[in-house]
Amino acid sequence: MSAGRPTADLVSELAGGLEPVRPIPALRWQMASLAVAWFVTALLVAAWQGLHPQSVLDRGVSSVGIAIGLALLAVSALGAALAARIPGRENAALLALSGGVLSLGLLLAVWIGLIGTSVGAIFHLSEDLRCVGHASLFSAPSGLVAGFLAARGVAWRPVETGFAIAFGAAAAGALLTHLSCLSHDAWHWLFGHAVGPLLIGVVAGALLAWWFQRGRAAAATEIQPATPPKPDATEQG
Amino acid sequence: MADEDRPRDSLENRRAAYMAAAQRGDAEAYEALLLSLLGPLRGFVFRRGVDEGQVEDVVQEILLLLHRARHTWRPERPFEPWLWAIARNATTDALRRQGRQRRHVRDGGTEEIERLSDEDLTPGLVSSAEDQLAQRELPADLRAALAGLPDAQREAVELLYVEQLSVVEAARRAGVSPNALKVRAHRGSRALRVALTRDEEAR
Repeated sequence: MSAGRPTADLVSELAGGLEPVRPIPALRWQMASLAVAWFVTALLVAAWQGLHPQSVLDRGVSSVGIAIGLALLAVSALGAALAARIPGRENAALLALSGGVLSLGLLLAVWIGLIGTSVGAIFHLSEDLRCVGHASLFSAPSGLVAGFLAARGVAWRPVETGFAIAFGAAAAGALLTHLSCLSHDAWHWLFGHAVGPLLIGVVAGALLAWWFQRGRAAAATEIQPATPPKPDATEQG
Repeated sequence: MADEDRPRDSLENRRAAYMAAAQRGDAEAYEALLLSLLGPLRGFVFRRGVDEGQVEDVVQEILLLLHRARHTWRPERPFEPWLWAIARNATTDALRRQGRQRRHVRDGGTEEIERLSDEDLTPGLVSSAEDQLAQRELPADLRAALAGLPDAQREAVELLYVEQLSVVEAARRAGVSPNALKVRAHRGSRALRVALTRDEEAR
């Protein structure tokens, strides 16, 4: 990797080509930017479809559980993604990840709680798909802002970052869907507002991971050794 | 206690001040910072278990990573955790590569020995070439064939297959690059195969 270049030469080269840089925003400001993106999206959704937070509360424990689970997942996954790209903020990323695990546990508990219930005995696939589509659309602003912020961080942990952003954004979008949808079918909430959007998040996560992987590869080749590699010591014997 | 902490605090503060200046484009401060980090980084990388011959490479990787990530440090945050997180990541990557390289060499070495066993060494002559090489109980034919190799090739074969060192360790012992050592070992094993086949045909 060093191609035989003395480290002192590398130091001189790095210092010689030094350009001023603007530090990335603090993690709390990055999260605040995401919150702004989510609120703007929420305003647009409210104008388009209306938001019904009271209805979420009135529909019972499952509905509230899904709302809390999605909100927690959005904050924790996006927080983990951004913190993981800042050296020295691993603890914040781990803390956020633990929130993500908790939120997935909560969603799983809702699922388990619904087993055997007759709520929403009939599946309406078209409604489910419509809500999944809406959730994907609503997740785009948060995903784009998070992707932009994460791209400014260190080019490492591309796979984890990609999936965390996708899951977080999907949950943020799904929460808006849950707040705007007036369905009383708990199974619909679960599949149309949680499982479906998160599955879309898996696909988006794979794409984002690939994109960040490319960014990492590009960053790795950004600075090439100034001196040509030493001829290999391979003898011909 | 506070007095004991003071020099360390002062060093950390100085590094943080250099880094803040570097973010503003101060090349001299940046160079001073990087030079002051070389010793601690070398020690860190070595203590984490990176092969001695690779330490300088990993230190350079850390410097490059630090350079690319310099915008991710914020002046109001402590500098040291930021620095060591970068160092830890680069070193972990290097250790993974080192582990992969060793596994690759071990697998390659076993393959080579299996090929020798299957194709070149008759079962009656050598029941298990791998065991015998590992235990250094070399049959006379194999010993003679080894002795007939050029010094460099014999050394490479012995280091890799008899002493079963990793390529990196063997290369360091032989004083050549890992690639050069692999080439020598490959040529040596090929020459061994030819020599053993020739002996077998002569009998």
